[in-house]
This record gives sequence, C-alpha cells and structure tokens, in this order.
Amino acid sequence: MKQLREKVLRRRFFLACLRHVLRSLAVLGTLSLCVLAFFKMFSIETELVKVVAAMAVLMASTLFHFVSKRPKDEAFLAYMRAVNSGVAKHPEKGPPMHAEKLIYLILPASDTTDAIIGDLEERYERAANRYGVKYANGWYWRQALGSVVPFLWNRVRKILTLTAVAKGAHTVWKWWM
Amino acid sequence: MPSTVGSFEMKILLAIISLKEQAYGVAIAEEIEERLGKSVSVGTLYTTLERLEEKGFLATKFGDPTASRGGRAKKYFRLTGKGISALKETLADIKRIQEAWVVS
Repeated sequence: MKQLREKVLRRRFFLACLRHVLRSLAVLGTLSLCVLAFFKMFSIETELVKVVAAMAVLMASTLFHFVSKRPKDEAFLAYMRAVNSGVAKHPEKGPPMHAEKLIYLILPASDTTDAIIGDLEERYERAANRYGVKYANGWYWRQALGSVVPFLWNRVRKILTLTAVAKGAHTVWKWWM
Repeated sequence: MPSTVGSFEMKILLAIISLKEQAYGVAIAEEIEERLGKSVSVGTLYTTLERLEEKGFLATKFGDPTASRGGRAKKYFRLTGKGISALKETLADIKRIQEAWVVS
C-alpha cells in the first residue's frame, strides 16, 4: 500500500515537472517569435545583433525556468515528504502546508534545504506537544515569513557578487585586449 | 591573517563551541534563545551559518535521518582552525576596547 502510494505520488510529481518544462519551452518559443518579429519589422540584418538577441532569449528562458524551478503544487510537497520519510504525511497532522511550500520555494534545492525543513519540523512538533497545534502553526508561519527576507537577500547577495566578478573579468579582458 | 567576525556570527560560533558535537540548527537556535532570551528565525540563523561556512570558519557534516524530522538528516557544524582564530581575534579586540574604556 505504501509502495503504491509512493508510486502514485512519484507519477504526479513527474507530471508536474513535465508541465513545468513545457511551460519553460513555451516561454522560450514565445520570446523567440517576438524577437524574430522585431527583426522583421525593423529589417535588422547584423549578425552580431542576432547572436546577442538569441543569447538574451536563451538566458531569459533559462532564468524563468530556474526562478520557477520547482513545480509549485501539492504533488511536489507530497513527493518530497514521501521520498524523505517513506510515508506521506496527512496534511492536517504536519506543519501548515502553505508555509512549508513557501520555504521550499524560497530556498535553493540542496541538502541544506532538507536540513532546514527538518529543523523546522522538529521544533514544530515540540511546540505542538508543549503548547498545542494552533500555537505551533502560528510559530511555523512566523518562521516561514521571517525567513523570506534573509534567504532572498542571501540569493541577491550571491548574484551581486557574481555580477561584480563578471564586471571585473570584463575590465581585465578589455585591458588585456 | 584571519578576519574578525560580527556580533551575531560571534554568538553563533560561541554556541557551537558550547554544544560541541551536538551543534545543529535546532540546538544552536535554542542555545542562543536560552542564553540571550531572544528568538532567532531560521532564515537569519542559516544565512549566517552559510556565510561562516563560505568564509571557511565552519565545517559541516550530515547526520543520519530521524523520524521526528520527517526522515530528514541533521546538519552538524564545527569550528575550523580559521574560525577559532577569527573568534579569538574578535574577543581580543573587544577586550582591548573594554580595557581602553575602563582606563579612560
């Protein structure tokens, strides 16, 4: 029974992933068509502009794909729980589903993310046993909402560092050439 | 030459030292909350831990998954030599400033 449930969850999750990839491809296609129409309208023939535009389209689609990397539905959470614990939990007995989803969405996919979710779940259970489920739910929401800014700022900080490194490399390249 | 650490980073490093082998997210947060009487959000804690790890002040390892955590593993932290040097330097700086204030 457990195996059957996991199989169903896995299938749902992969269907959600497939939908996500198709959505990203649709974005890529739409952007490409827009750029082609723009070239046609303004009769742009320069090869360099075309290459730059193609790269920009590709980068924008990739960005879209990675920013909305994880399938944002219940199938994902259920699958994560089933894979990690072997048994899918009943949503009413675990932490608030939307708060957990929020954490998964703002964090990059890594082992640390699982450790963070595990820490939250451990403290949630303790709070629920000590003060009741209502208090624990409120606590979990406060943690989730309070973590949005630090986690997002951490990601922005990394992007800014990469941008600074790229700018530095570009300056060195220009100086060298 | 090792760099110094900030105020919250110092608190985290001291909590890790005090917890020895049992320093993982929940234990660190509870240790800080107990000692300082302030709540620590998981976001602030983990971004600081990640920053300290990037600086080379912390080493990490994953433990075994446990049922109470939904089958998820704990991430344990310990100080590296560089981390200990940075912490000592920061504490020495604070001591020097304190002494200067007491003298003047």
